[in-house]
Amino acid sequence: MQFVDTLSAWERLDLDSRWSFLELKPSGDHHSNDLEPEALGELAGGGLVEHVGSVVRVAVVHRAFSKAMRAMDRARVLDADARPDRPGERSQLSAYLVEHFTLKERQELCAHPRQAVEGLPQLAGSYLWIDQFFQYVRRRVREADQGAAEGADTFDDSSDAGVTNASDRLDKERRQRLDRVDLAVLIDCYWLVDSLLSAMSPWSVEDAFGIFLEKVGDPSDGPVRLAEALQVALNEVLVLACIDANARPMIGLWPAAAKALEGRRVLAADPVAAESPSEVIARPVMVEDMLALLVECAVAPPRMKAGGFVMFSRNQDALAARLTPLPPWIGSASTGWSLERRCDAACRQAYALGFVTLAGTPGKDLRMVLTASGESWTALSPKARLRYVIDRLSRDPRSRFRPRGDVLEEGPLTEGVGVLSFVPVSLQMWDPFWSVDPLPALVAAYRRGSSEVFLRLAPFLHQQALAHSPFSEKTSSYRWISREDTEASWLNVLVTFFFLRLFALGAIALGVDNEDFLFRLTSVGRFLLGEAPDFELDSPIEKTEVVVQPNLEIVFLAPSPGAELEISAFASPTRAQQNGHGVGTLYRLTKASVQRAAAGGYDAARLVGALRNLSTQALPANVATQVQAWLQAVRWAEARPALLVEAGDAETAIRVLAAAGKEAKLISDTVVELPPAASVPSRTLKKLVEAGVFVRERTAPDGR
Amino acid sequence: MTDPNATAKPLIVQGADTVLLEVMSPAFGEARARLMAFAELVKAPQHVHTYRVTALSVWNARASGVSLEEMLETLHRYSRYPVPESFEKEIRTHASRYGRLRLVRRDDALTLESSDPDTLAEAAVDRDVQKWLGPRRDPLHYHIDPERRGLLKLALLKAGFPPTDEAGYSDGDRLAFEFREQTLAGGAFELRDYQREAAAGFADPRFAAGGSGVVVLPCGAGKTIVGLACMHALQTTTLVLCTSVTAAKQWIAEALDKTTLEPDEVGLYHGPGRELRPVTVATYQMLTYRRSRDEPMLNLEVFDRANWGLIVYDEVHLLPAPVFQVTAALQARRRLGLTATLVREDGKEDEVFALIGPKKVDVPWRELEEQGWIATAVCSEIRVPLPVWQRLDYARAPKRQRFRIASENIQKIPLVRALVEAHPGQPVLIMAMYLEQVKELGSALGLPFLTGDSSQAKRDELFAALEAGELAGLVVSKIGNFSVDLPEVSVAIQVSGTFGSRQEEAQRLGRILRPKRDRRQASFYSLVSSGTVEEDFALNRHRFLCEQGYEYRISYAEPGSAAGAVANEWAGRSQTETQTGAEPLEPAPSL
Repeated sequence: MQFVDTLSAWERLDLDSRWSFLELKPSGDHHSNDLEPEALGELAGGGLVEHVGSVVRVAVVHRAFSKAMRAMDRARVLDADARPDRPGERSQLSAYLVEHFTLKERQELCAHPRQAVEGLPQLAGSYLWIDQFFQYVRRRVREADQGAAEGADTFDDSSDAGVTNASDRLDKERRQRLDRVDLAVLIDCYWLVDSLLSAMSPWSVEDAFGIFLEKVGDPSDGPVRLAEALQVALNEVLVLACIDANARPMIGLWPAAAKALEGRRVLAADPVAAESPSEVIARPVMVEDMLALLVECAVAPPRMKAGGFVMFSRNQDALAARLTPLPPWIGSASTGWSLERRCDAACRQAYALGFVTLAGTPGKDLRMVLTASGESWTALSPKARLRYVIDRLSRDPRSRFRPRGDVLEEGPLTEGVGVLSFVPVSLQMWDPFWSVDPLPALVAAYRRGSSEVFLRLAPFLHQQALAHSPFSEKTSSYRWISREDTEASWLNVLVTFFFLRLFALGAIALGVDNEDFLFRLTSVGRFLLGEAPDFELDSPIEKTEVVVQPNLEIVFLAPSPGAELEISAFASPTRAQQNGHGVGTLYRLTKASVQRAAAGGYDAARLVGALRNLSTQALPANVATQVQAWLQAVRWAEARPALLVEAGDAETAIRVLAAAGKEAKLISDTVVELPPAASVPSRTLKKLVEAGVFVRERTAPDGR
Repeated sequence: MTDPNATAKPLIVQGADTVLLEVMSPAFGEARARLMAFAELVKAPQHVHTYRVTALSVWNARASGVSLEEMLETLHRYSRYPVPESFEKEIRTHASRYGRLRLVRRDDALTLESSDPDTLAEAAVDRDVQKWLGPRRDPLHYHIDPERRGLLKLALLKAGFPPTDEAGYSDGDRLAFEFREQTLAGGAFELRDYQREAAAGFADPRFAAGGSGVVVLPCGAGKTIVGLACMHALQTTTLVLCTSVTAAKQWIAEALDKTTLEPDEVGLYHGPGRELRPVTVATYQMLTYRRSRDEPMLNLEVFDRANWGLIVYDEVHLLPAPVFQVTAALQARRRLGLTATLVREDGKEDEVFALIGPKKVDVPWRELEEQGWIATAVCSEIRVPLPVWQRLDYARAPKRQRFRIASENIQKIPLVRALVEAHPGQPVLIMAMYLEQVKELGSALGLPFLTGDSSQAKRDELFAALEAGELAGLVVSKIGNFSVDLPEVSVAIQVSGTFGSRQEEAQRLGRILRPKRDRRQASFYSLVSSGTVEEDFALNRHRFLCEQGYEYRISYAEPGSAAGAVANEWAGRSQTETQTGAEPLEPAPSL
């Protein structure tokens, strides 16, 4: 109470006098010249200092106040302006604890003496520290017969929902310490902490007294009760104290913990409501991007930097232009969907799946080229392409979770050359969690989603992070990892898996409403999570907007890598295509391109059928006829070496034919064809000589 | 994707200078109207039209009063995808260069001036520009010889400094006349909307470029009437230049029939009795005539022999080089270019725009067809096999000779006969390239023929007979390609052509596009030897029409099939309806 009494005098001082007082050591002597005369007069008048001759010292009764206020000045833990460069950093809390608590006190607080330095800021800076206190008081109130009725009035039902689970019980030392505190004081302390939590900003001590008096309605009892409650709150590091810019004492909660606790309370109380999105996207972007890359590799293999998987910027721009644009609201969420990252991911994923490989010399002519496996994959139906990738990712036991990252080259495997981790690897995870297989928990988390209605993503993920983290058990072994750290790590895995796998594979329909993400599981999603034996594509994998014009040009009104891949097999790319435009007049049907396709196995029905399927407008009749004509004009001929004997006349030719035997063939009146050989066989030559025919061998122009 | 209405937006910016316009989009009409103000229509096939934004198109737009902001706003508003920064930057650069230099009259002298001495100095460094500059008055002004006005403009344009030409035009001598509401022939007459708009746009005095320009309209859409409307808007003495005497006579006939001009006010500058009248019609051939290669073209003086207020270049895409040069010196006179196909195989379209003026109107053919101003046309290509005996000759012939062999394929003759018979009562124009072939066709089909050697009187007589339906058909050489007005002829058969000339193909189709009195459709047949180089050339020839929105039906005269059956199939009739000569064709070649 002495602090409260001194505070009244403090409030009456002007600002300069306050700062002058704070410069005085609590138990030292100071020369009167060290203070401005006005400040000295003020302080002496208020009884805060004693002035004897030229010596000035802090009045003995106010020394504790002086000591506390100076500590509150040195560790202005609630004043964001004091350290604007490091707001809310845990080191500030650490400094505060050092200022206000002795080492012994800190060791007692954290129950693990060896962790007093590092562990206490972790513990006291966690929302769990406050929430455990709340739950402890509630239990005390319920247990105490006399407190039951009072408690019913004291606590707001809406905040009753605890956000900690069974594994977050108070440790024994802390519980014993609180057991020694009178329940009434604890209830007042509860009120103080809860009120500060609701306010979400510090109070001046003076305001706190005013508010408390208003609550209890008894001016005689109020200050004492609040002082006792405040004492417990400060000693238990539930409430922190510091001074503000006007040297007024302030109290408040550690901002990060308060924010985390309030957020979790809201999440815990708020069920994940179904909503209607204003825009929705559900596409297997990962598959489409790989397909786009494969088109590039088929049409104009991109040049790669010596490192292997990084394209030269020109090639990357060309690929980026070919990727189906995503709505900007996806990119704004920092979910890794920049064009650059998509290009990079497509290269790595397609390589790991064995669809592409590198050819050429690094640093010279290294290019990414299509493999036979890639060609086969592209020939599959859209559903089969997606199914293949899902199977490779989710059904391959090697792919479940590879903390060391994707394997891009693992040796001669039957299916591709590498392994992609089904759970995308995140570097934002504490080391101990690497040993946890997160896949079962991930699958369980997203199975709690809905395939019927859209749910808000953020509350859903936070609830999963709070309630179902597979990392929680690990936390108890590593007390230096805070509860928030655990949750943040799991949340990060949930988010990464959501965007880089579920969204990327079209397993969820992602919607947006007022900048909030919403989601719903698709048929693909139910299959991916093992809830259905098969899937149907909710919507066409790719909406093709391609027009075949009568002048044989093929115009893409929207990027469509799948269509491009098919068309590139029988049409010539235009300059627009080569310049990497995903839209525009990208291909032209030419006699050469169509006949080349014919040589590659295309027949008229397949080619014209493909054009009809791809074109959103009716295929012009002249195009169909022209293409068929070009295809029908394709003929095959065989070339083989032969040895010709030119006889001077028909009679000689007949004699040659007779001498050479049945393998010889008369191909004109005077020319006989013999089986291919470098020269006329000696046996034949001998027979010819016997028949009176002498052969002069003529050398080919190139000397052969 | 970003905008829920994005797919309804019709523009796609492709590459450095190309913009695609989707026809099916609901915003097609308004987007096209705004895009045309600063972009050149390159092609307009059925579904997606292609425009090009060039330095010249941007400068022409600026000359017509279109601001840079309007151009960019159009692109941003109608583009389905974000407009590439480089594309926008290019337009900004082009637009910023416009009007830095001005051609003006100061103290009765022609002057090139700029408010920025650096720009003027930079332009003057260019060698081609230097040639046409006069003495320098001060750092901001150069004297210019009025005769060099056009050449200087062309050089400045090529150097990237398009000047605004504010020097004005000579008004010429006044010539008052009106359009008749009833023609001399007795029919009602009224300008069509697009003709009126074209003339109004041409003569718009608000802009520096007003008074000169090119009007691109399909054959049969009444370009002569547009020319007369421009003359009417200016009410001034006019020199009209045409491709042939036939065309010149048609011009005169139209002028007398549709306007109040009297016969003594309109004259043909041709032959010994060449006349200079307030409206004088001459031919390019006449202007460029000279006795020998070393002698001057004396007839070019016609440009200076009268105070012309307007010079009309009919079929401006055929403007011969000497006339190009004279035109460059005629910048003080208003110039009007008329064409259906501004496709120059020499690639000098830009020079036409630079010397005659910017494109004022360009209407896709199919659009006027839909409005009923030109006849609906069905274009068909029938592929005919070479006879067996000719195939080896063909295979062994040099490349150029192969084309001729394919063009003169004799198996085309029975098919032509069958096609003529399949259109009873409809006069047929049969066009071929080689004189021998023309004569052979005439002889084999029993039809008269016209070549370059035919007298004008004979030409007039036979064209009139064909038009009147007195002839079943007429075989013509290249003389029938241009400016032959045969409104009632609805069937044309192209037996051979000038290699891959797109312009010729379009002009030949144009002969039958004038709307018919009974609204019947026009049929254009192109006979091509299958499996030969003629097929490849034909593909190129069709390109212009495909790019105007026409579709080609392609079919084969199958081996052993009767020519008549093929013809009937293509004439849209069943074999039972007509009994035609059934001459079997030899099997298709497999070369």
